Amino acid sequence: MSEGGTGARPVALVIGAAGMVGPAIARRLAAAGYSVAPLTADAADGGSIADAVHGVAAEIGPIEVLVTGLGEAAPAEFTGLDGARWTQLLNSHLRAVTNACRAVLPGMVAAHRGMVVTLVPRAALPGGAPSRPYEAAAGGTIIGFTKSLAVEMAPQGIRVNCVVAPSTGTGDAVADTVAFLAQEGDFYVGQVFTPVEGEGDKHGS
Amino acid sequence: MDREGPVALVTGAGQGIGRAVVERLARDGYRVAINARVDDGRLREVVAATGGFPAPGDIADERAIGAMVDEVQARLGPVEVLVANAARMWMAPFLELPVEQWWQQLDVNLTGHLHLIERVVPGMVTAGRGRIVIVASYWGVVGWENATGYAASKSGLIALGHTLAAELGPQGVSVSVVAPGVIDTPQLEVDARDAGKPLAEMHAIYAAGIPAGRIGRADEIAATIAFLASPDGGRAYNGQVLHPNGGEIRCMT
Repeated sequence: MSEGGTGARPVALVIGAAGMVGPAIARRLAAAGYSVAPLTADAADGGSIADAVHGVAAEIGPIEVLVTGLGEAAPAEFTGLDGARWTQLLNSHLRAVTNACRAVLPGMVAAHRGMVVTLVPRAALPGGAPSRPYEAAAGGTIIGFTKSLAVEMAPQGIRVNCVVAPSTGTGDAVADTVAFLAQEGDFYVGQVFTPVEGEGDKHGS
Repeated sequence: MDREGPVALVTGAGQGIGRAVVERLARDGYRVAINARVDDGRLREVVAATGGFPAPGDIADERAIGAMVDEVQARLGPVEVLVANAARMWMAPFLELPVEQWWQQLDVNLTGHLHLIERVVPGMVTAGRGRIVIVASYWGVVGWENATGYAASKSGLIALGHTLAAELGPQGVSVSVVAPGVIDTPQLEVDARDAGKPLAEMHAIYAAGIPAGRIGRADEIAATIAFLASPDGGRAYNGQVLHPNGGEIRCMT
């Protein structure tokens, strides 16, 4: 992107206004010169997110950066979740991420330019405490999806990476990583970044 | 069949890795319940070849799987070893595979096995022992072109394995994950068809990226699974991911 240029600011779409992480990323990208589009649609609803994305592209400009939001937390112990609740949980994670990508990627492919960052809950990596098997399984899907999508999209000029959101903190560590990727991360493809913030998370198992 | 052997349930055992696991566990003295999606000729053939117990049922059908587990436990006794192996896979670019077809891979590979594991865990906890071996994939670890849905389902299983191991380990139940590389199974014919290439060329393409110089065999994966299912192997490897892949390495983060 151009720093302090006179042209239109590049557009970033940050999904997930709830919680600390989404707003922290939006503020950080705005400070870095992006026009950050608000998104009110439910990303787990494919039609709704597609309409919202088309609206953003038409009114503000082509989306250059997509950051997908975190899904729902699920503290339940194993065997404590019924089938419908599991489906809702998986939808809030993987279906929301894939719907957002399905809506945004065609425009990036046409422009041969763009960046996607998927957020992954800390529960999906080893060493989280307490163990949250359902949230891990739902959030863990995003890692394999992102790495695979990254390999498909890199030849088309689109970079795709994951950032793991710490289980506690202000979201600033995630926001810094996303901004780094947007501005200087051209050579990262399909990587998983695990910024640490607060006392809760340790690397490894 | 030895009536004293521990009971093992293997899903997706009509062919490929699943069938090889059944053959291996039967030889090792387990009484094996053999799951396949439908009760067709292939399932009967595996039953005839191994002396196992047929346990047909679609992993994506929560009710059918509940009934299947109930029947296996009524006929054979509590399941001590579960090998979660069944999988669906289609290879196509993310933006081209029909959405509902893309999601069927999650329905079987992840959601179906999640519900199946929920069904067998209470018996294992009551017995104070159990071994769950989840068959994931190297592609779920590193990601793979044209395999977004399959890789998503497998990375979800890997994360499930980590956390279940931590939760169930203290109760005597170990949960391990095997992430095979490219293996010589009937799935390769599907890959070749999806890629529009002859099978032999598909073998050569895959083998070129593997230091061992060849793709793997199903019996080699079965050996790893038999080790993890054993008392010693299950104690040593709770919660880990093993990578029988001939040395193929990309980013392992």
